[in-house]
Amino acid sequence: MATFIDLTRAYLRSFLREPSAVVFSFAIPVLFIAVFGLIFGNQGTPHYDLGVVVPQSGPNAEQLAQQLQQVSIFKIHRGAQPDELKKLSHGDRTAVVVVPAAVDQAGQAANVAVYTDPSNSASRSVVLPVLRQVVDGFDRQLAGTPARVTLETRSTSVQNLRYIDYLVPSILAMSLMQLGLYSAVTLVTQRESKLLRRLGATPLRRGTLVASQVAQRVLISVLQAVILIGVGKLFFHVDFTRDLPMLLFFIVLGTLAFVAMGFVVGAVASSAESAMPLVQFIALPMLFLSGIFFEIDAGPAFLQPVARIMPLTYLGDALRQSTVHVTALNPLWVDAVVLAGWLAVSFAASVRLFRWE
Amino acid sequence: MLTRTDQPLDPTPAFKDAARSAELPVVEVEGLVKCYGNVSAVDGIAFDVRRGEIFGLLGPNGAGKTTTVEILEGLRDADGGAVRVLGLDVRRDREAIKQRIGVQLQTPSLFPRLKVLELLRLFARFYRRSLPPERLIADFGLEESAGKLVKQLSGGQQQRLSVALALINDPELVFLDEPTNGLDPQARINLWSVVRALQARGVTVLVTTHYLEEAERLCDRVAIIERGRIVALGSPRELIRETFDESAVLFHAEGASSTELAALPAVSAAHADEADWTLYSTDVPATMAGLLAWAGRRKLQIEGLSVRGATLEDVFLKLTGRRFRD
Repeated sequence: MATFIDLTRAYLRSFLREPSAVVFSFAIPVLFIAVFGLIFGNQGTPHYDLGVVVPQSGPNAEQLAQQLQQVSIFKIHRGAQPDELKKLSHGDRTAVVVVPAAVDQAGQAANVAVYTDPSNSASRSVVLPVLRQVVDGFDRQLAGTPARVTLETRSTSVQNLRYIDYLVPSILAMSLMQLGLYSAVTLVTQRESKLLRRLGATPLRRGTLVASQVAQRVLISVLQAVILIGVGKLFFHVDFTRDLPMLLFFIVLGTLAFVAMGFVVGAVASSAESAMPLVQFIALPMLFLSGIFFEIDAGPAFLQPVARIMPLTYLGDALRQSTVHVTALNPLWVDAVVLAGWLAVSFAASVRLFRWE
Repeated sequence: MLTRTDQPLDPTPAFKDAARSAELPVVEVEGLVKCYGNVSAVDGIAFDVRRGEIFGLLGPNGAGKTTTVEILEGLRDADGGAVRVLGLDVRRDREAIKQRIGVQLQTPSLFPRLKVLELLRLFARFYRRSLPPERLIADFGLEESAGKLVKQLSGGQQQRLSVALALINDPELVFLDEPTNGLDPQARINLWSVVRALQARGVTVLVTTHYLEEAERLCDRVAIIERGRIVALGSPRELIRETFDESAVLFHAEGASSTELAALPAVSAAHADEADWTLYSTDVPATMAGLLAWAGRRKLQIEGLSVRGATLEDVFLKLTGRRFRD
């Protein structure tokens, strides 16, 4: 055990004394957050252009239109139905709401029609649920419910989630992935410099050697989480829920899965020079397709099945769920099972392929 | 060709021989074979290393020295033959052997971003018993580097650290693989004195080298390896005496031919490296007189004329028909 601790400390020191590793693991993710946070963070909530058509004005119809106006994520455009529908088809509107005259006729059933572009997924994931809430609330007022329900109190998490809130846990997931996958390069370098062979000439157990390197990565991951969450909280006022045990669980599970994948790459690659592009080949698609910078739904439909098998998709989802209020992509147990699956497969492959020299 | 059976008797006093024979050899190698694909890197090597001696494996690069040493260290498995280290089987008792041997690999192979003292302390952890790192730092003249990162050390300092690291567990047997490779002449002489100091403390040393001079000056006994086989084994002086009663006459001359030179008095062989000649002579005064007379007749300029006793290089040339550097 003492050997394990000392060796882990040796690996930690080696890591922290390498300026490029420190910059890459700590400064770059913080820089990402700062850049994206400054570009998008101060805009507050994103907004969606909503066309509102009121063919026949009346007190109730105007009141509904007014209530839609009050939803902060909507930018309301009043207009005639043909015009608004044309703008929807051109992508200038996210959705068009038609308020029927029936709302001002007592006793009549009134259907508020919502036109959306099915290819625009933002309308499905954000606009429709909010519209439904607004209309439901309005309906209850008409039915004479004594409590006057305002939209603010009925706000869903979608309305409060800012881009920066989404971004911080996502960048953390990205950093854990990079850290894990890059253990491939560390491993190959140790093999190339014959350090692994030198250690093999001592009575040091090979299990201890591997465990120390994994422990080093897990500890650095936790340090990354502390720094990124600290920056998010201090500078961007990200509202973290504090499910710390869950967060820690997923940091460890995610790091283990990606370190195991890194070991597979390290076993396959013949030199540090060839390990580097291999790591990028795995990391880059995940960066763009796993919903790190943008929600998965925002990507083209044919790529979504690809995103559905990528471990980063699940780590990002799990870290967001255990840090901020966000709509879940999957139940947490699904995230855990998929990540554990990746860990198991990669671990088995790395044990099979591992080379000491 | 010399084998172990026709070796002359060890010239050490009889009582010391008796004490030695009571002890098992520290390393016993019998019929060792190691193949990489179709190529046999080690092809039936056999030798013993006695307790307390400095034993050298001498051969050109690629002769099979490192492979042999790595099998003894438990880093590679042999394809055939029997190997015992400290009386233990290298396959079965790997862990026990590793506790008692010190290993220095050809490349320094250290943690580049640990400090010297940190590195020694870390390695001390791996063993049940160890020497104080501070003492090794003092012994190897690394006091000023103790707080430096390993990667900041010069090549010579790294090499010394690498040897110091091989001693951290106070081993009975130390393997040094090309320990002076890349060192400047002064650093090489310093390292020799370190190795001799080890021997004085009763440590057995197995060293590989491709420097003939190093083998000749440092080792008690040498096995000359060529293409995976031992071509000669014995103390350097014995090897030379057994192989040669000639001396070498060296000089530089343009336009000479080997048939002419080989015909000079008492010359048994003449070798040329460009215009640098080596004549093996059984009677140096006769050869010299003949050479100078011949040069006068041919009006040839003879430069850099010198005479030396035969060396291991001459042994290698005679036994293999090849120059050592080939």
